[in-house]
Amino acid sequence: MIEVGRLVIKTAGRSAGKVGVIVEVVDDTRIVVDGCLKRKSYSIRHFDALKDTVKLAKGASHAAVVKALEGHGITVPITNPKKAGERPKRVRKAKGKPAPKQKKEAALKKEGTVRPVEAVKDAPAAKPAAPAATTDAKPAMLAAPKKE
Amino acid sequence: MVSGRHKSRTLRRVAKKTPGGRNVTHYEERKPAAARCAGCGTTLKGVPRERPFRMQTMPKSRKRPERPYGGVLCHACLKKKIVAEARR
Ligand SMILES: [Zn+2]
Repeated sequence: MIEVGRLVIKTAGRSAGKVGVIVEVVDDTRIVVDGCLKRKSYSIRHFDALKDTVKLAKGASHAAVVKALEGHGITVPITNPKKAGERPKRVRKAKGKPAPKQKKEAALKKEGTVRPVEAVKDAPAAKPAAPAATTDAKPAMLAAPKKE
Repeated sequence: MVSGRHKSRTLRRVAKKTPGGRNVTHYEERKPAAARCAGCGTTLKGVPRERPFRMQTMPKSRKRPERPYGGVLCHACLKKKIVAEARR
């Protein structure tokens, strides 16, 4: 039953249920299997022998195994590992930089250390508008709850 | 003396040693039952008994064996199934 060219199915482990061909019989416990699973020496106990056989020479190449299995309607998946591309480099966001500058300018303006002339010019224009609005609003707000 | 709500055995008791060296009892929710094989009912190896949150944070490969039907069937039942399919 165990001979070169015998189709086998793996019954244990991660590749359980995958079909392969015996390429070499190492001894009465180990066989080299190739096909839909990795070509290497396995324990016989992890396989179940199938009815079908394939014509193969002892130690046949992977290409020969693929060709032989195609005759039985079994397509061997191509498992060439992908080549690692370039790692994406981290790019710092440009957003973060202007924010602290604006903050600094705002802080300086508040303190009144920068451009005192402008601050004086702006002040009279801004001041009357703001208090007027607040003074108008306040009585209305205070009066409303009292009436009710 | 334990407080009244801790007299019930709903929560399991876990002995802990604090960083300060005291021995304390923590009350934790019980773990779920062990996973069982859908074919024969034996307990499955490699499937942790953890509460749902711990299971969520674990990677998939730590929660069940990596073979087909891992976490559902035991290895023996899987072998039977594969052989039966192959013979058919
Ligand atoms: Zn089972």
